[in-house]
Amino acid sequence: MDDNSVITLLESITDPLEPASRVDIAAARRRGRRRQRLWRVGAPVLAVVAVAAIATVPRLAFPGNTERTAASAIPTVSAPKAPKHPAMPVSAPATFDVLVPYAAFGWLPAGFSEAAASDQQNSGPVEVDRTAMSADHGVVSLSVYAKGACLPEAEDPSRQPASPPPGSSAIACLTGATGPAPDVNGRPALWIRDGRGIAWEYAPDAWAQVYTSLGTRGVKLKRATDGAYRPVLPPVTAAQRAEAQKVAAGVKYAQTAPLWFSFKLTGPLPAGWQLSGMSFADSGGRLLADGLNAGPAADTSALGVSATAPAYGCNYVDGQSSYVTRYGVNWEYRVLDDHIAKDVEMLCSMETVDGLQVNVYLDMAPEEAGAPPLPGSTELGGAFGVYEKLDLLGTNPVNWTTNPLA
Amino acid sequence: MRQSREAEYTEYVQARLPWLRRIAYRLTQDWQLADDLTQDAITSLYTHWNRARDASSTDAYARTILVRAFLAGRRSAWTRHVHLDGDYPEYPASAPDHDAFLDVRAALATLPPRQRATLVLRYCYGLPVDQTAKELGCSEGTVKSQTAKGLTALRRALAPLSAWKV
Repeated sequence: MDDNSVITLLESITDPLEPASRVDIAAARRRGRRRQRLWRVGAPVLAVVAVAAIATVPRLAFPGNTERTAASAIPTVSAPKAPKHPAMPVSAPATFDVLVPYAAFGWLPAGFSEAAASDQQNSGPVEVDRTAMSADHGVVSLSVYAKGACLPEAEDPSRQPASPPPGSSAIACLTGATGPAPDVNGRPALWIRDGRGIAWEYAPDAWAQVYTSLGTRGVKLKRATDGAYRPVLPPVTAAQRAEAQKVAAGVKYAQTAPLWFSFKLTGPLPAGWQLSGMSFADSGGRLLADGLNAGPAADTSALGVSATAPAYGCNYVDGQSSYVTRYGVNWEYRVLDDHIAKDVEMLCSMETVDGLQVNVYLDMAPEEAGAPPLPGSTELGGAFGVYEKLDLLGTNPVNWTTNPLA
Repeated sequence: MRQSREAEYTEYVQARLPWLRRIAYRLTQDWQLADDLTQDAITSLYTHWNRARDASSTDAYARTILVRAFLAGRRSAWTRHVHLDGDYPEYPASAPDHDAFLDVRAALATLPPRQRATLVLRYCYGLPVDQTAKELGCSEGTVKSQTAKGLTALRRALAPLSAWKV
């Protein structure tokens, strides 16, 4: 047998019948999200993440047309009378101040609170995400986008109200729009996923969206022909659509409540680096940041720093870390080789420092193999260099700061 | 764009999961290991989704993660930290029960991981040398040498079959 014969066999090799997949996409998302949080902001509230991931499966899993209802078939539902509407902004900023979340819920259904989804709040330069949950795993999520950051994308092109112009950096982020919805405070709106969500243009060229999920009680699993179990969504009710409208109508814009940080980064960020986003929790009206992310344009989250009350320890990946003592602190330290990304440093204090557990994530990896490190990344002196620049402010939020780059 | 990102990721993985599993199976020759490997790979894909979706080919990016996870298996021991529940029912082979196919799969399974991955990418998936090198993270020269060594090993392993057939 020569090489060509072997190659012929290889080319025509067939696999035995595939057994049903045990691969769990939702679990991959949960683990991936947990891994990201461990890397970037630390101290995750895992239970809430897991619950949220399960509860959000319905709205994430089936954006396709299998359940889509024609817009004409969507009954028009008048929104119930909402509380006094906040003024709608005349214009929206092109970028948000990440240290001051731009938008907030103004009304939530009974039983829902942001405190129940404490790590699901994010403030970024072009998007603010707020999430509220209920005890039975229902989810109401809000995303508000900066001007020009997002254009609605209808599944049916004939209903597409806008499309990104060539060369635009805007993202068609409102996927799954299925038809026009009643105005939100006089602003044009679209149903998303048959009314599980609603998107509206809160200011010219600036969009926001709300999703509602019934929670795990409303979801059933059905085995598909490929053997995998998939959630079957219950029909959207008029009450659910009305609730989404009411949440949308109550959203508050141009908020002034700042984020509070448990640390200051005393040294400057490298030239060209900017703060890129924060995860935070609403604690009795005070917005407490879990940490900060920053980076250059090439990787806006190259740096992640957090200092939080210890919750789950370190343990990035079993057997993958080194353990070192520096600055009188025991650290779990790992250089990440996640099959593609290299030159990623992760640092986690195995004991508290001023009552806080410190996590530093620094990704210096370029996109292309062999390219120089991210510009400015070497100036930070690695993950330990970042730690040297931290001024920890303790566990009492009264002593925290609204300017982590002071 | 968290919601958009999540939806895109989920849609992509749902659509491409069978394809990824088949690659994983051809690399591992074991459905149990293939699912563990795929689970690990799609978790990594989630963490790198921004890069993956912006890559010139998301499929190539995902396959690269999978292949490199396979190659890193002995080092990072994904089988030790990925545990999936459930057992497989037994299924009959769908392909003709042909000795040659059975033997080539068995022979493939005996090759060192890098040689196996090289042959699978080049001949089962028809990738050219340069693309194979990119996905394996090695030089084109290494791909060529691994190909030659792998084919030689397979040829030797299949020699008795060849002799019997002749």
